[in-house]
Amino acid sequence: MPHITLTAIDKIYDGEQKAVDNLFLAIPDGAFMCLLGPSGCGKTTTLRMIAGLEQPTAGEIRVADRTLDSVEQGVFVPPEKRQMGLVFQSYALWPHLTVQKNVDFGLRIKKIPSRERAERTEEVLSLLRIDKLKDRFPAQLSGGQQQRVALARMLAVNPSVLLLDEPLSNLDARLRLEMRAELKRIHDRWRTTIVFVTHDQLEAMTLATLVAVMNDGVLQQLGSPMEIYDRPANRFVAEFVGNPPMNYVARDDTSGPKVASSLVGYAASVGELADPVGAVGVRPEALRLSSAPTAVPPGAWHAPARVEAVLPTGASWTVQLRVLDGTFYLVSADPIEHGADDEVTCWTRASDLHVFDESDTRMTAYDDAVTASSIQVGSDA
Amino acid sequence: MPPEPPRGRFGRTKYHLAVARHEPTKLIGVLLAIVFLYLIVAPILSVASDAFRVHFGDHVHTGQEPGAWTGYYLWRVFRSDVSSILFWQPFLNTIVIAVGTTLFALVVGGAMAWLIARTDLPGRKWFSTALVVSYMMPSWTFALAWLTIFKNRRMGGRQGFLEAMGVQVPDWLAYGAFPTIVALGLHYYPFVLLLFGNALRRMDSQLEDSARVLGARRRTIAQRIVLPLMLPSLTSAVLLIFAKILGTFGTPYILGLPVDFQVMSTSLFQSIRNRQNGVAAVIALVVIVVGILVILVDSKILKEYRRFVTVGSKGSMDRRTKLRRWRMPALGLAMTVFTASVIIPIGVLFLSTIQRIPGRFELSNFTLRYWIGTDLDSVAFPRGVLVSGELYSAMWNSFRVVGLAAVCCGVLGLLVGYVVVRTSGTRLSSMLRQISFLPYLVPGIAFAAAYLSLFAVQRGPVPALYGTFTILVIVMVIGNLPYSSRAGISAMMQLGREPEEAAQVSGAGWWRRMTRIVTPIQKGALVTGIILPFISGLKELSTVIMLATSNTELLTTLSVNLVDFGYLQLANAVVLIIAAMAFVATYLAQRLTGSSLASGLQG
Repeated sequence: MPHITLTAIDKIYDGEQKAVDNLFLAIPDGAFMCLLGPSGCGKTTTLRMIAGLEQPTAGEIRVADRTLDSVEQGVFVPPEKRQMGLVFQSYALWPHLTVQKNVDFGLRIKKIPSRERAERTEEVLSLLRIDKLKDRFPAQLSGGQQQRVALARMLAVNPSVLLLDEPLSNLDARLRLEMRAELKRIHDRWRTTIVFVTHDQLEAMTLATLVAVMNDGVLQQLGSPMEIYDRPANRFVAEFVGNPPMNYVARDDTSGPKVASSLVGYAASVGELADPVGAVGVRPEALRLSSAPTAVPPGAWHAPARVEAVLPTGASWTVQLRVLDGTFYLVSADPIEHGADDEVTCWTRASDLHVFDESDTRMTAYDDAVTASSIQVGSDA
Repeated sequence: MPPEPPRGRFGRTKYHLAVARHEPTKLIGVLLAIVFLYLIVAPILSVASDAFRVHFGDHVHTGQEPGAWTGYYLWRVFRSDVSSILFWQPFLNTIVIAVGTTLFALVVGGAMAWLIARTDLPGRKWFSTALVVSYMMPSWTFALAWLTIFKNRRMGGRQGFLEAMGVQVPDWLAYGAFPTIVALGLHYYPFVLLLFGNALRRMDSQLEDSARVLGARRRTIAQRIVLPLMLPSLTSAVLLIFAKILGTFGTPYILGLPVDFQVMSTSLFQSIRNRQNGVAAVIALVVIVVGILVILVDSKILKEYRRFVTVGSKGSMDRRTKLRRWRMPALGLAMTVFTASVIIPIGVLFLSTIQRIPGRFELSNFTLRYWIGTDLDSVAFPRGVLVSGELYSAMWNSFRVVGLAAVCCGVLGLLVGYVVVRTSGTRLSSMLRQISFLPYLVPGIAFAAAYLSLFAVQRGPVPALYGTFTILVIVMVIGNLPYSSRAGISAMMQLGREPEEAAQVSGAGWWRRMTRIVTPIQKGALVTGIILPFISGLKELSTVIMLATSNTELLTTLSVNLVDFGYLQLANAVVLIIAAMAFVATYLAQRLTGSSLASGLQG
């Protein structure tokens, strides 16, 4: 049963275009849900609307069987009555209160007896491993410690939903990794529904059980991280998720018309598609190199290419390729033997192509056709 | 897709009401906006309408019914036989004073700023505080000191020091344009010192170094790099002084009256005293329009320059010009400025209060009667200031009015900041921001005239406020509102809305958020927001001179009244008391809040 339901949510700020446009979202109980998108896509607004800090222009928000907002029926539950937790990007710790008092605050408001309060505070502080800092003021803490206090403050009141607004974006790379693990641990232990907002697709992929990709206030795709990655619903999702981004050619591309028509033609014939293909994408790690066209497995798409630059990162190799008249990126886990200016053949399997129609929507007909044919032919090992 | 949610009747309205019930911010904002519209925009509209409506008693001259639309006052002010006295001469004088004072302040303040910020002048740090002192004194302190020294036989009462020593002082030196310029210049040069000095200090010395590396000579660097970069702060200082002088009253009144030297502010004051309300309204409108023009030009210039002004600020290394053999002369110059702007005025004022006949340095001539005497040979003020009731009642009034106004300023400022930040992005937010800035455009004395026009009689449910403490408090609060709300907005901006929202999500209602989170965090800003208006309010004269009556005498108006009566020594004593209070308050404020003098630029 879905825990949080957003129905037909619109949000329009004074005299501006829609920040959120007709959003439907169902978040299951216990989910670790991520709202992913570029800045200004409406994800933070959505989060703030769930918290009640922002009011929708139209629509309804429910948690479990309680209506929190319903513009049409005139129902509004103020944020202080929603029993949620919200961790801000800036942490928003209260500078005039110690760590303990910061964490204590919500419990005091709930009028919980002081013994119980102390126990609860102690428990959360030690869960987040900051029990030694309880008498310090926020200004005396490092960024990572502040982050933990902000989390502890919201966990203390045992919220039915925990909302996180870009919680890791102010931390350095190492701390971010540590806090990611921390968040996962908390979710595993607490089993609360967590909704968090990020523009970092890696964060979304590693943490979430469910990802909602948004752009321009419109929900683009909702699915598990692997679904989002493997079967992006449209061009926006395909290009936004993945790093380096997906190699993408459109039929009317002016930058690489030859390689575009080659890939589009290949996809149309392999998928036996009746509708015209608009664009084709292939992820960098799905591209392969061979020294000669003869080494390419039968049936795979291939084209002559020239190596322009090889960029080793230590764990993998990124290659910039000139494929016919277009520029592609390739990522390989194995060492690349070629050097700059080598003439090679670049190829990929039919099942690794992402095919979109002229309105940039995924053509599932292609996926079905390829799956069917690979069952017939057998996997091309 | 799931079905659309069911639509109830009036759901949307009900929803907004439900939100408003739990979130009073918007309501507070709307209330503030209404109050400000009434207290800021309505007086200006009222004075504008006064300028074009026939007043009772003038129907004989105009041949129109009272209340009818008329161009009579425009004609009277701009084209009639008396318009030269009413308007053109004061207008010209104002320009002379403004230009003269600005130049004076620019030369003195600019030189001092350069010496302090960019050279190895001995005692730079001390001077950077000492040279600002003259701005902390009431602006007409210098006028009184000037009179005390240069007053000649033209005026009644005791003569000045020089006359007492047997020197004939010509009128041009004693009264009118020249002394006004010097007195105002001595008061306003710290303005340039602070603004220009700040800009000099913040300038990235790498910019100069780059020019030097490219082979530029000092002179070229100064002309082509430093000066253009400093121009915005200089123009800003100049225009602000210009705007201030437009509304300043005390100095031109004290030094101009004996020779009938009128500026716009004093002419406006006279018109109101003579109950020529229509004429006064026209003059007030002119003052307002000129004030607005000056500020608009300033903001336009600043906007033009903003393109490059923000560049730099990093690597502002301490690079100072070595003065070498000019070091001592420079020190002498700085000491001279300090002496002229602080020691002489205060010393002269003090001396005059302890001498029977000013300027005669014999032991028998010294007396404490002006402070504690009980048998002064005057009818209206027979007792010394410290033993007469007037001082204490005026002091008590000042404390009450200024204190209440200052508390209102502090609270209102933060409240405006709160609403502006909480509702940021909405029309309410930007409207509130703009209205609260409006009084900045209106010179103080014109604002007082506008208040007189609106609140002299009962209007609807609002009783006639003229002669009450309420109107003094209101005019002080509104006059200070631009500074207060700007400070409040920046304090709230710095805090952001998130700490409060965190409390909200944790379950705290509005009142608890205000008392437990917002107010404790903003304690420092609140204290500063009260103390600064308090200091400037103690010295405020232009806005209150027209609104205070004998029942609502303040320290500042008392001192000017004493001048009117010709009791210079008593007036001097009162001004010294005001200055002492302002000093103490400033000192305490600095100790308490660590705020710098530069932030006290208001008032």
